[in-house]
Amino acid sequence: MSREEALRVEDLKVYYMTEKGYVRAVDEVSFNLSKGESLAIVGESGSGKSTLGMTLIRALPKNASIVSGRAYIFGDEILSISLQDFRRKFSWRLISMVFQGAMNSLNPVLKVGDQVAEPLIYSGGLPKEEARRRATETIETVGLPREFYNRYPHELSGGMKQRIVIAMALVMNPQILILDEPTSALDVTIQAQIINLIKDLIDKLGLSVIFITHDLALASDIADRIMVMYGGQIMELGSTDRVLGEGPKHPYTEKLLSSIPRLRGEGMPDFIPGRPPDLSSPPPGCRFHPRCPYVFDRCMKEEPPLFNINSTHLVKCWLRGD
Amino acid sequence: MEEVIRLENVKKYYEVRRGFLGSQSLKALDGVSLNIKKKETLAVVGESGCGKSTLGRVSLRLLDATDGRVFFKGQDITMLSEKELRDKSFRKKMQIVFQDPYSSLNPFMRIGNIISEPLEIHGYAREETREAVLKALEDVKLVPPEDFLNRYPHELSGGQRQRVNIARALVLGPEYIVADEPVSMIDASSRAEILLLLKSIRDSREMGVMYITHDIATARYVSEKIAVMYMGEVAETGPSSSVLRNPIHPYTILLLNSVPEPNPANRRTRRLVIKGEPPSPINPPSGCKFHTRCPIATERCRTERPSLVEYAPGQLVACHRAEEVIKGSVTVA
Amino acid sequence: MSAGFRGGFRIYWSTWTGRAGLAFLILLTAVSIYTITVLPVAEISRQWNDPQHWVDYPKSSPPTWVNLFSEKKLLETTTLNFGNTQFSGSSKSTYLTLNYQADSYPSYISLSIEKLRYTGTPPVLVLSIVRPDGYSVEASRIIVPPPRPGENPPITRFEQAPERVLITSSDDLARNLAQLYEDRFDVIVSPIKVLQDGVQRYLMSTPKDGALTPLKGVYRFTLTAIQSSGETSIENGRILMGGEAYGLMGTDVIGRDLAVGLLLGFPISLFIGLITSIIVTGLGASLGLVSGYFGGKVDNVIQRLADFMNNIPLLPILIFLVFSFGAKLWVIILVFVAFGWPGLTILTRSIVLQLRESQFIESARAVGASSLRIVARHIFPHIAPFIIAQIIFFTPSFILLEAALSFLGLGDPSLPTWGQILELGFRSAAVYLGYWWWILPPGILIIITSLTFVMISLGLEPVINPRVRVRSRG
Repeated sequence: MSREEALRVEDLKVYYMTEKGYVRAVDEVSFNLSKGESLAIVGESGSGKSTLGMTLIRALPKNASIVSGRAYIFGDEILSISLQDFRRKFSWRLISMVFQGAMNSLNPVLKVGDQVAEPLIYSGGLPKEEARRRATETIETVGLPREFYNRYPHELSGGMKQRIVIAMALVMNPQILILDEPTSALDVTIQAQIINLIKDLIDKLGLSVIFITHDLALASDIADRIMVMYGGQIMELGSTDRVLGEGPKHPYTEKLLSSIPRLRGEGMPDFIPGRPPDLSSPPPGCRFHPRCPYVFDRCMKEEPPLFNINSTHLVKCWLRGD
Repeated sequence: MEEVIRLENVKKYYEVRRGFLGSQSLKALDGVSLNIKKKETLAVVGESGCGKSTLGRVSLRLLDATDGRVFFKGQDITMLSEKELRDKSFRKKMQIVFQDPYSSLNPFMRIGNIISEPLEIHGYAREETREAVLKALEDVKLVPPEDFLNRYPHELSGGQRQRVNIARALVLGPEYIVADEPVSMIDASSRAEILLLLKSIRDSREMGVMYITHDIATARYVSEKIAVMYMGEVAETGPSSSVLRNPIHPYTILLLNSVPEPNPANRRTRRLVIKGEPPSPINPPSGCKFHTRCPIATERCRTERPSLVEYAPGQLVACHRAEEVIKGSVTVA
Repeated sequence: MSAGFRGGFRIYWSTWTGRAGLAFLILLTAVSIYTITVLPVAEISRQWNDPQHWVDYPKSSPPTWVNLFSEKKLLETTTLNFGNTQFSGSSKSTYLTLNYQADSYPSYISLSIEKLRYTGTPPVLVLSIVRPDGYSVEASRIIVPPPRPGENPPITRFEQAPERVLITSSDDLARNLAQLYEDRFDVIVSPIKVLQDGVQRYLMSTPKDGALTPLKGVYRFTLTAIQSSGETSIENGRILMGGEAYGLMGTDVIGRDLAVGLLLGFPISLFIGLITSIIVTGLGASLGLVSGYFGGKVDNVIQRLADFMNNIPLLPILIFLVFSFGAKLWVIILVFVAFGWPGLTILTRSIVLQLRESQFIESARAVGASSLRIVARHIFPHIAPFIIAQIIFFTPSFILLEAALSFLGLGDPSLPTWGQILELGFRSAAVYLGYWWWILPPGILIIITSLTFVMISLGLEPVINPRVRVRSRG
């Protein structure tokens, strides 16, 4: 891993303030992302994966606060600077995000091309003609014909809208792209098309990608490394070859993997009984212990650290260290 | 085994207004025939808009077919009125489990009332009702059942709500259940649990199940038969094992190819995908409806509509080039 | 939606409009209940339009409390009661005294007696007045009719209606006063001038430097029964001195006590507002429910009818109907209902259309629930909060509409509503004459009542529409 570091996150904690108290949506999360690398953040609903993405582009809702932690984009800290500074220097041009369900929040009365061009005009300060030209190019980059500039959202299918949303995120040539469940509302055949597109874009543009998904199978399609989150914490982080190739080292990852229905092979898919923890009062010890099949005394009392199985594979489980 | 439900050449057309002049018909279902036996599950697989949900509702008489017939245990129920369906106990014997565990439960009603309502409608006595409700809650593993009676839907997790849905569907002792995407809105780690539950209940209660899903991978675990639908028609149907292991229709083959499997080698390859998107159902393609996206379409596919032909035991395929695919003289993927 | 009643109320109570609206509503309701239970409403509303009932009341007088704020004290209406009096034996007379300290004169002075009974010869009742300066003047005589043939003593007179003598327009008194002024003050004045200027001015003044100044002090009113034989008794004898100020709220041009009218206006306004609103909302929501749930031809008919009703102008129709059926309350309410329902029907329908597509409705159908059951158990609970909000939201519009109609002279004249009071005020040029007590209170009450319901519906809005809640918090 001698490649240039695109993003580093250190000890990030993001809490939501709610009527029930603090919800520890993201708790002690640290990781890095090299230039040109793609990292999948995998977890179920409520695991904190979307909050993590929104923190990195400074788009947290008002009741969320960054309790501690730092994040660096090419060496520059981005969480302590003012929002204006972040928007001027980082958003769109260095880091951008495709939000979950963004394809359904396209403005129905604007041409999709103009919506793609918007950040170029308002954030990039380009003249309209130039913005239009660049937006058209980006629309072609995501695999749509250039005439689509003049279409309206209702004239597009779900897959086409998803391409437009990706074009919006790419229009200012960012280095880092965060994709939050970009295919969750799409049919499996269209999902495959979008996944192929994302692969092409990574190759062609040299993007560093954070791919947020609940689906380990999809993660394996794109990610060089996989980071499994549960209850706001990293459970396992390692290269896809290790985590999926050699097999998961964390019980949660293992269970998540075996709950995926397969087309071939014997046996039923597995499931994890119980429900995810209430993050306003997380269980003591390991947050996964109430649902873990290998639980023992220590898990209930002490929170395991992220053990280094080797330099690139971290596992937060007492079975993997002492 | 006894046949529970049989559909014969069912069609469902919707009139769609186009401008000022007249209307066109949208063919949601265009001649579908199938049957489901006791203790058997048929998985109806297809992408959104293929007509699979409409099919489920027509089989329950929640929607009226434009043409064709619906038989429940040999009795033609196509033309029965709502009142007849209720009075002759057909409604009791046919139930549905919905996709969305959030919008399928009345938010103003307690769990106990949600489950007892069907019994109330069909005039059960109070003690009988209470017992049946507790039994249904136990059957779906919401235990202890007393804890759930007075809760409201919003106090439950998605998986628990889906169990309530199943309990409500079970409480009348149905012989046929339509499960419409019952796990698509549930966390991945809980899906198998619900599917297993449905399967074990099916076996213990000897029901016939129509399992509607977009996820062909789950279909093989719960179903004995599969029907793959494309634009209101059955493209391929047969025993789950043969359809999944030896798919013949190009659409089935490509659909199976689109399903992601967790494998680190994935990222070094590109998926083989079906090009484009399904055409508008208001103006469907002529001939075989799949020909616009089919990699092996010929002139004949563009003009002549293929009919379902049996190519392997129980396996029916609507494709002009099925023979060649089987022989291997042409490859789809 | 699922916040429940307690949660909903907490949200409601957190808005100041909600709190103020509820406080006002409680006040309005309390006054209405007081009015209905304590006052003889039926009798009052009958009296309201009977000018005879109000003859003794001063006309167009401000309320008495204006004296608290003004230098020049206005005379308050005063009643002197003889009560039930027996004229017998040696004491054939009775008297009352009045300490008169006002700077002005009563608007009139009258004597009333009821149920006079006598034996022997028919009596003559004489009222004489002794002024503070000691001069006495005969004010009036009541000659009691003799027995009719066949009538046996005791003879009863003035039983059906009280005998009322307006002594300030008595020719006798005018003549006697003219005589008094000539004899005692050397002032020559003709009886006709006394009548024209106002008998009471001469009765209660002394001339000073050629002008009349009020004579303050104790006046003594003596009532004597002149009878050669026999006895006489009267009931409820009284002398009324019409003041220039009356009661809590003053009077109108006929002399009606505005306090009574305004008080009666509370229950009537609330009744019209709420009843109309409830009927309109009930009808509108039911039609919307039917229209949205059943669809098809019924839906078409209801919606076209709603469009039609929504687009005909209300006022001309109302005028026409009032002319053909008379201005009756039920006609007015009927018209309000007929024109009020369409908006709500269209709204309810769109809500129901959306609900009908939801899975729990389909689920109810799948278990064999009848349409009636689905509507009652599954759809209605969802729209109930909305319907309640609509009732409250509609109420002020109907209160205002009724007031506006009354103001145009199209109200039901048999009931004293605030609009009616306002209307008569304007018709009597109260604004130009400065009769503020006649115009302001009903106007203010209409505004307060409307505002009450507006504030309640503002308070309810965040309860029913959670999006507003978020905005108002954020």
